[in-house]
Amino acid sequence: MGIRRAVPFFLDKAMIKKIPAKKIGMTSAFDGTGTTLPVTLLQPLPVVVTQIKRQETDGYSAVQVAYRETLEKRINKPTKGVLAKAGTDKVFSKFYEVRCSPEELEGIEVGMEVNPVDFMARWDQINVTGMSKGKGFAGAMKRHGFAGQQRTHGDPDNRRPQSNGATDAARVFKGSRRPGHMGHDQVTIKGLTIFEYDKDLNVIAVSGSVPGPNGGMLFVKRISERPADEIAAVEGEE
Amino acid sequence: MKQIIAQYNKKMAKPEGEVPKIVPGDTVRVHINLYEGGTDHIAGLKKIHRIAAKGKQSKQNVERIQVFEGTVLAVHGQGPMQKVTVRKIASGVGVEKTYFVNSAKINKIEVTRHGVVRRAKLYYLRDRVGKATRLKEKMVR
Repeated sequence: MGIRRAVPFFLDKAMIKKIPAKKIGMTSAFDGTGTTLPVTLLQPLPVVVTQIKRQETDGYSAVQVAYRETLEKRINKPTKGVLAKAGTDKVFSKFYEVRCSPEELEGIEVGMEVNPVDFMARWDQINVTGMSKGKGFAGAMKRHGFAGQQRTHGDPDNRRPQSNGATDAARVFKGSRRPGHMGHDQVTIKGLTIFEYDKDLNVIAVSGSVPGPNGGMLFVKRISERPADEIAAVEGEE
Repeated sequence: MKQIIAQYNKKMAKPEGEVPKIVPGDTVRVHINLYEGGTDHIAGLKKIHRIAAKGKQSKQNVERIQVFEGTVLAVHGQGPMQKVTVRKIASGVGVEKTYFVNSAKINKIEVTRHGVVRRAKLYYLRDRVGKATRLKEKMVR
């Protein structure tokens, strides 16, 4: 029994500015004049408010929401309890929290469903955060962009990091750029533009690339909205 | 997820019948929309925001139509993102252009002649000059 509210009412709230999304994959799209753009398709996911944290009770104010629908057998009992408390009949496996000011908590209730279908078409520029693909143990050329050595004239190995500093200190300074594990880090790509939102497929086409493998989970943060005349033009088309 | 990408790409395609079936060896006339002085004025929006003009790019905004006529050397890919490479000799110099057939930049494509060819990629025509570049016409019953 999720409670649905008209979305524009709390469109500017912090919790609505950050939503989870699934990376579908990359393709290309034609814009209005036939120029091709590289786009990444992301599927924004619906979320349910599971807990509201207040200054008085928790020491800070935040909204906890659940996302990523799954089967009932896949979640444990404590998770079931949280979902039952929120009064939602859907089963979610993951949670996150969005910090916000105490005033912003007004109007948000536990059990409230937020469906990106309602407002996604209005978003313009976004930041996308996700885990990058793991590269394993990578050399200095791949990991730090070192130039390497010459390929010809008998160089035995031309991908070495070579010297790591003076002999006086007689140790390796912390933070030196050396070979090591690369990738599987949290990466944020800032200022990506949403090319369009496809309501039927529920996918946003973001121009450019985003971190992580296809099917991976991402967080999309809104940084700007489309101008009113543009929204009207898009809505008029449908 | 591949189905979602395929469904998304499907929207990019022009209406059925607008793009003829093109095979290597065909002689085609490609009508190209030209916008003098760039394309920024068309939608009155930033390049990336031409979503407003998406799909209904008005033909009256086209300032000139240029025709590029030549032989199809290769067809790359299939579906909405299919491309064709067209070669012609302009002032004694070989010119090759590759187009997205479903792009709004292409006004229309006419197939004027079918050539008899035995390969999918006719790159051997690049090494030929004059009469040797001709292809025998395929008679359609």
